[in-house]
Amino acid sequence: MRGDYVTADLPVFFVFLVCALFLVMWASPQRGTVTEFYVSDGLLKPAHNGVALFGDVMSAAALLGSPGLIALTGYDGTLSVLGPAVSWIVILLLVAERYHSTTEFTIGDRLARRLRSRPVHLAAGVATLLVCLLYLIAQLVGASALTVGILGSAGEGMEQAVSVGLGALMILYIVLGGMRAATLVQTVKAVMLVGGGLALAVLVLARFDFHPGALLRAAADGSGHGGDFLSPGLRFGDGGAMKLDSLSEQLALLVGAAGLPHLLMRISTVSTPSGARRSVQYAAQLTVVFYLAAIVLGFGAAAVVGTEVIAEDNPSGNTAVLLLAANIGGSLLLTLVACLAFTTVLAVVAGVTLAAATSLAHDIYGAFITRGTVSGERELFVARVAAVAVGTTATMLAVFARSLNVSFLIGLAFAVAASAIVPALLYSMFWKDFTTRGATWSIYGGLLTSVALVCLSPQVSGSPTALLPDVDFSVFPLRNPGLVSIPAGFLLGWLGSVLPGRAGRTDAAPSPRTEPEGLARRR
Amino acid sequence: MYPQKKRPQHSPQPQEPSQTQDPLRDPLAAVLLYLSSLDHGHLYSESELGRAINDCHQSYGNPVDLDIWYRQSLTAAGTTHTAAAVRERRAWALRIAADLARRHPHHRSLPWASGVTLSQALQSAGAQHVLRGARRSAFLTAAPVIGLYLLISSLAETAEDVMALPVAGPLNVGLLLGLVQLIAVAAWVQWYARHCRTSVDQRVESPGTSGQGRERRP
Repeated sequence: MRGDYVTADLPVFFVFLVCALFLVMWASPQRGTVTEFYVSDGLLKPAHNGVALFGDVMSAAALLGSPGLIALTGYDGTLSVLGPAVSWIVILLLVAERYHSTTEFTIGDRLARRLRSRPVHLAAGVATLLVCLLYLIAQLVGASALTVGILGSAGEGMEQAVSVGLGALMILYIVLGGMRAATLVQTVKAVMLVGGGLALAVLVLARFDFHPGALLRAAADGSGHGGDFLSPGLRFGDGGAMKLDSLSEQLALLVGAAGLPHLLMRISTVSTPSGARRSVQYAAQLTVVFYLAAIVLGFGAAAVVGTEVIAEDNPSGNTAVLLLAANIGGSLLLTLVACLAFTTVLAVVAGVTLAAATSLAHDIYGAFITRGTVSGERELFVARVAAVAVGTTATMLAVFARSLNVSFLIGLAFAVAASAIVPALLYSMFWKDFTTRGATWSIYGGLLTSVALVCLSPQVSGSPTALLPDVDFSVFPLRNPGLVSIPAGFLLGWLGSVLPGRAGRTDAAPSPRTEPEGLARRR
Repeated sequence: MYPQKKRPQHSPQPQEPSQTQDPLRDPLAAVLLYLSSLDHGHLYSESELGRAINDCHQSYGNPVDLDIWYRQSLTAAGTTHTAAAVRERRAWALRIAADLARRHPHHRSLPWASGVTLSQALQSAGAQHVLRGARRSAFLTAAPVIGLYLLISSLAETAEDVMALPVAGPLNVGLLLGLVQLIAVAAWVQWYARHCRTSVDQRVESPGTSGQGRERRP
């Protein structure tokens, strides 16, 4: 945010930080078991879990990114909220109940139910860790990028400190409270998010006498694009590759949500499959309500602040809601929205860190390294150490990678989840001939394909906005690999299962027999 | 071949099935034990029995297949010697199943050990059939909502002029479809909640279908 603009009220902001710290003490665990640490003993109420699940999905990208994109690109930005809303249907229909009833804690547990434990636990653990790290880095980088926007000149040079502070808080939350703390902070954030988002939307609509038509007209005028602002074409232009890129991103958003480890983990925190379904239903309804508010905020920002001012302040539009809040309610409202943004990031990174720590301790250490012989106490200790390790690694990477584009990292996390995790998950739940080899091919293949395609894309080289703008090895034209890597993940899973050879399914259905094995042995 | 384990403390009463006893009345656990890879001449711990039953349950997948293979096994006895072995194994399976049912009378996570018979399991399979129908209708109603999303994405890329057509004031086809999409998602989720309450939830609580119990580690 520009220096001459309204900045956040620092004392209020610090009071908020102290409150966040006290929340940790409140969320201390009660019994100290792995089940409590990972999934709160599976005893959450569906409504409570639904609110927390909604909080898990709503990252800073939803609060700041989506309205920002709408403020910059108008109609094209609204498409970014449709995919995540529709993805709840995919989760409800294909994943929620089946996943809940057939898993213990992690994606690896679900796969190992029918397949060989060690290879699938390792593969699922690696994919989970990568997705979580990408997601964590994106959130922390995004938070630090907002620092100057929120604190004004006082925030200059504090970006790294904000990343480190958030990282330390999230580690503290998870190490001390596990899922209980993650749920608590997620609930607080979700309530604040819906309440704050709706209140801000009402304030915006009040400016236009609660007349949506007047808001849209003012947005079109404020954008500088006129009527084109409300029609497709501003974001992706006319290029064929850009349009394919848009489709690829939509596909990754639609499918990838069903493979995000922190969402899947939260599905296990209720006691019954129908409870899991009801959780997702609550989360979906809240998502729709919030996205309706986000659309109002996006067009409101274009109408009240103006697209040019927003783009000048932050080319990605992430500060649009902050500018809007400052314009409507001055310093106090800006501070409240800033607190909301930080709570949002903190809650999401806490949930993601927990998912990564669980996968590291349960899948990789518990199931792969110790072959399931580790005691509960030992695994709990390793999970806490893993939370520190994952949190520290993500924080350090976020400090070093602060120049990375946030939407690139989020898109990559969704694409990897959609390509590596979703195919194996769906095959394991719906295809009885799925084998261990199919699972490992699908996970490693989807993971390598998506990462390799991103490395060869214009995001990394060959364009002025690339990570390495001075070199050019971008042979893959799309920025989001989903369009190719998601089908590749499914194809590899199928090929690995149907090709001849040792497919490695532990419980392959026995060939039809007319007498039991024991009887045959007796004779 | 299998390790010899200590004999169960409470030895159940021997139960010799008659040749004509309807296999449908045999407990599901007995059927699974009969078709398992266990040797009925040996003794096994409860965990080994439980594991073998679970493995067999997962291998066959559904009660219909179990019924077919169980009947074939019982009637496949050609010689007198084989018929005696079949009878002996069935008696062993019934005895162990009765003992397990006595030890775990209401263990919901082990429906095979709670006295469910093969015929009840087959009835549950019928309920599963109804459930599949309910799920199919959920998929069919979700298809238009997901289809609308794909339509919006495609039209936004290929038919910008159509999306820009005005509907009312500044509201155009594209914005209207976006709004309809969000409302359709909310409406479908609401419908799905009611649909599951009325068509699915009651049936999944019926015996024999809740085999996916949660066994948490301490």
